[in-house]
Amino acid sequence: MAWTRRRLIQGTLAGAGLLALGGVGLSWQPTVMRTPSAPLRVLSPRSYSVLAAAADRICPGGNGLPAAGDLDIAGQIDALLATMHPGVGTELGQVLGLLENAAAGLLFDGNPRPFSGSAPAVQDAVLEGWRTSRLSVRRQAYKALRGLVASAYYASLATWAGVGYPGPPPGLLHRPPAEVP
Amino acid sequence: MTSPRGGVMPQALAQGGFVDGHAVFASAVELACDVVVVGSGAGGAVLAAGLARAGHDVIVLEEGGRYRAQDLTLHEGDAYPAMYQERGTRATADLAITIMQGRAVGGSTMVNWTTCFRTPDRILAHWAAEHGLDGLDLGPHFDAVEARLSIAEWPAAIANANNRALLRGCEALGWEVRPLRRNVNGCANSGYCGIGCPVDGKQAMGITYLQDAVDAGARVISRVQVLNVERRGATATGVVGRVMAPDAGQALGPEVRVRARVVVSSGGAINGPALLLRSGLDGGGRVGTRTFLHPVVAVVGRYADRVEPFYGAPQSIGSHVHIDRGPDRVGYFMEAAPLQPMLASVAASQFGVDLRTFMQELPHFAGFLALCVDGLLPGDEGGTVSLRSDGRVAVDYPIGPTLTEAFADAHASLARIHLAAGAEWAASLHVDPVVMRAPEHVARLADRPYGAHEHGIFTAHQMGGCAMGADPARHPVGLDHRLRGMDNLFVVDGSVLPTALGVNPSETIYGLAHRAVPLVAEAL
Repeated sequence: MAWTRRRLIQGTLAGAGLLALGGVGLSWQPTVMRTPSAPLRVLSPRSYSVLAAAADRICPGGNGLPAAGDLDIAGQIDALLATMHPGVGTELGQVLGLLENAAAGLLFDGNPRPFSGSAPAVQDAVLEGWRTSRLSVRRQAYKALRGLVASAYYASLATWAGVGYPGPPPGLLHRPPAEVP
Repeated sequence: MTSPRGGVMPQALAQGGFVDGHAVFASAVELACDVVVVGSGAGGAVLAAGLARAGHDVIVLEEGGRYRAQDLTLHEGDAYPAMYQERGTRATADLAITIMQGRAVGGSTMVNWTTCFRTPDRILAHWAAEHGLDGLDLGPHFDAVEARLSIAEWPAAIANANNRALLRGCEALGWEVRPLRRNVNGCANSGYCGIGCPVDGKQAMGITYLQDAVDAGARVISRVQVLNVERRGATATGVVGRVMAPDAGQALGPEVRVRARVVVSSGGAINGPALLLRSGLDGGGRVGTRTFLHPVVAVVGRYADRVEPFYGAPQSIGSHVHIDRGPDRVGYFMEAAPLQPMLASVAASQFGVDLRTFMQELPHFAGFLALCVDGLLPGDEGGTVSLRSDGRVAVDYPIGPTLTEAFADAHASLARIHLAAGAEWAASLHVDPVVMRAPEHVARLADRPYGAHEHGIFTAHQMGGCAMGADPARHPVGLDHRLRGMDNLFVVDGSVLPTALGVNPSETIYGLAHRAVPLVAEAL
């Protein structure tokens, strides 16, 4: 049966429909909300909260590095989205809805809770499931999410020392970087 | 002509100079000139300079902003959103291939890694045989641009440790390897080419050919996105666009219309074909086809000593030992990649502690690339550029079996170089990375899948989409750079390349644009 179900959702059209489903939000348990450090410009409060939860698993910090939440990476991504075509924000909202959606989580991963309210180990398992999925739509969604979070996080000055990057050599800089706290 | 912002005509707009369209145009504006060039990168800049020096009234329109050395923070988090297409997130529609492409006055030349090659003879021979590009004599044009851009070999003695590892490994394997040539003058060897040169050492278009154009009276107007070519029958009458604010994702500002006797599309291999498609100019269905990317795969090596791959001239050593792998196989060439934190993080596929562990090795990593040469084999049609219903550009690039075979072979070659150079281990960028500590481990790569979403794939070289050639049925652009079916619309950028090049493309585009100056001038 699992094989049959998987075959059903492998088609491109079905995959696209699945993403749209995430945007609707069928979860019957509420999202665990987080508070952004600045007013949101693109993401809904719910999408922001799911993104912040995912960012904390993608870049959890430790070993000399801050957690993504310490840097409000989700807020930085919202600010970036405000400078992009509105379609990008819409698509990311769909991805986050799918991640959060408990019904979809149950269908794929046996997890009935929304992503934002799941234990860290479960969240990691969901992300790993997407990362290694044989469904290209899930790998795409993972890649988009991971890329936005990792690039915002490792671009932050607050992470440079933790990865052994001393920054631009003294004397080259004309202007200091405008870091988002 | 309606008044620009404040009602006072800036001197640069009246007499030539760099103009910030967002700062100057508060309401709709109409300008007139002899030639309007859409795009200010390697093609548009060289062409604009040549035409302006010949006495023609030239306007260059550029969607991105103007970034000078004093404007740069050398911070990836500032530079990629500002100076790269789609805020640094451009990718193929399936997200399988990360597309690095500049968006600034000077185009990708502002952010490229400075590697310069003349078009290889084998490629010119292929173009003559397969695309009717007979007698394409670029030699004198390369001489001219090499002199203007100070293109010269970068001595291996001052190559950074990343590139020295590539040299050492190839030499140990007995593989061809050589120093690369770079367009620099007064280079500080800092390693920040990819996010804007802080010392104006890189001879990018903003400080060379665009400055030449301005000095000859051209107007280079930034932050204007051209939306359509306007035409009457087979005659282009100008272009229309809108001001694009620095922090905007769409061009929603005042309308900018430029009337011109000649229109030139120089927006590069993605935005250029997109402009033509938006304008209803599909070249009989050929515009936006045969888009080539030099698809790139990478392998990192972990060395006992600090490599510091974030410092030093990014690319100064290269090998073409695997460029010709026989008649049925895709060849590739190998170069180094600078690894600053944000770029390195994008290359990986892990998350959580695995990603952190990977990133904390950064100072000890060397990064090597293999760039696969697409478009040469029969039936290799590359990708396509099309328009989405919401106006965005879509790049589709199917990855077929000849390319995945090359990806697999390239992974093995790059791993062998790392291990021969003394790396403690080499690792692929697979979803499940292959870690190799000895040459016999390289065989493990054969067990992994290759292709979309199996491992990292990148491109910094966008080519084709508006191929130049002799056959009207296959080539929308003629040997004179004119779009077939139009009297006065020319295409001068990397989109005219009928195949990929097997070398970094900037110098080929400079040379073609230099050759195109008198061809375009004939239409004036």
